[in-house]
Amino acid sequence: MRRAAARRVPPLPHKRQLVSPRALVESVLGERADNQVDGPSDEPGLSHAEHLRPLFEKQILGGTYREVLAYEPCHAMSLPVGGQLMDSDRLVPYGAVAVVPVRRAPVYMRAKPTTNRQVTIRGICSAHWGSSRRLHRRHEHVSQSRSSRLTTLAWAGQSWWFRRLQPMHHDEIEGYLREVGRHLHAEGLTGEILIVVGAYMTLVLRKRDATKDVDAYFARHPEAIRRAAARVAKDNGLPDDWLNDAVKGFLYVQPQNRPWMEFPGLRVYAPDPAYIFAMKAFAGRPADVSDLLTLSAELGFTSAEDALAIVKRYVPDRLLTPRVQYLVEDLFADEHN
Amino acid sequence: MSTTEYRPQSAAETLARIVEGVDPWRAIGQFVDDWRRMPVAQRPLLCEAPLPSPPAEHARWAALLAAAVEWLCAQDGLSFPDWTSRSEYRLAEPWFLYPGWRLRAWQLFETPAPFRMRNIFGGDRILARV
Repeated sequence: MRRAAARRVPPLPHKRQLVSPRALVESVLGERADNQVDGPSDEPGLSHAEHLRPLFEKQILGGTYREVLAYEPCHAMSLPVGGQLMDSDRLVPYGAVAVVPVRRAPVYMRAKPTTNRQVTIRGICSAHWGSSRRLHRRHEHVSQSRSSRLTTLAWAGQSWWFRRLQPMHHDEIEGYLREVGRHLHAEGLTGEILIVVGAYMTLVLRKRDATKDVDAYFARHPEAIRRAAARVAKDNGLPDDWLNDAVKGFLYVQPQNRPWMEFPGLRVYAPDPAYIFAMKAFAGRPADVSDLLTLSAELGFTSAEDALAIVKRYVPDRLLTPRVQYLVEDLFADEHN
Repeated sequence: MSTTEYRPQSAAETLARIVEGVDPWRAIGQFVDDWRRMPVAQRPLLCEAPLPSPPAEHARWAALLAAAVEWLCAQDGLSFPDWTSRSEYRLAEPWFLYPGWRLRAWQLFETPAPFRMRNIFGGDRILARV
């Protein structure tokens, strides 16, 4: 590996302090350039700092991550989830995992980071899950099933908290819902929610890769669910309304529900897809058109009449405007014209 | 466990995400949600940075985003940022956001001015979130 020209860079911030993505990249890469690669030479995927610049720029400056929050310095590198090394679910939301430049110190296996020491950055390395299996095998908490998440950003001596910019994927949402259930369970409660709209498309039909939030009707213990969701948002850097019941005002008719998933403390129900179709047709935004086409195929509609009959089942007549009718009819325009 | 506060997504970040391959409506929806979550006085921060130059295939989303910024600013009585007036954000051909002909007239009639003047037609629910 070649050595980059040494240069003086500003020190990284400590404690909880927001830094700009550019400052982070310059600091980390600059520090990296001063120190040569500080990791196991036999670790596949280890790259020189300058080789990492495009990766950093794409991941951090390019918008995959919105911001980076410097977290309390840790004794040894942990994961950017605050050092909860033993909880692989917590890795999922971030899509990026810090990996220690391997010194094989036993501290890696600590469940919690030590936060009262400052350790300077010694190096960074880049690795793919698939290309650093040996490293990850030492960290048994890291599931190999995450191998599709290729990006690993790594550096030592500092933990970083990445803010998500991307929407939540279904496995992430399941993890967050499980956390909600855990909080409810701790209160001796079992909440019930009915997921609808984008979360339904993502979680149940798997017709979307991700959704920006989880629209749901809180059927049981709504206040406790809101409290638990707020805690999960806080713990994971999610928007406060990542799980919200704003949709409740649009539930005109009780849909037929079926259990979709159950976690300790939380039961999740899903409505009939016909109900989702009706809701989306009624909302009728440009953004709904592709979902309507997907649902129409899922439900096997062959005509606008079939589709409109479903809409009328769930939406009161007084709310059915010509716009809704025309939108549904245009979904079938190719077949009819 | 450390916690952090959510940071809203700017217009420029929104276009960057679209160019990266994120579903455009999802990215724009996130921007609109973030806009509405912020106090009015801070909303201009989300649109002060000009949009990055998009590849040709994303030019119409840049135009839609410029229109969205103007429309959102107008709703709040805020001044538009200068960059939204660039000629590149006016499409040469009309873009109807709904397929089919049945909603054409409605789109032509109901689309707010910031979109219409850019040759984008989608009625009055382009940025509706529910």
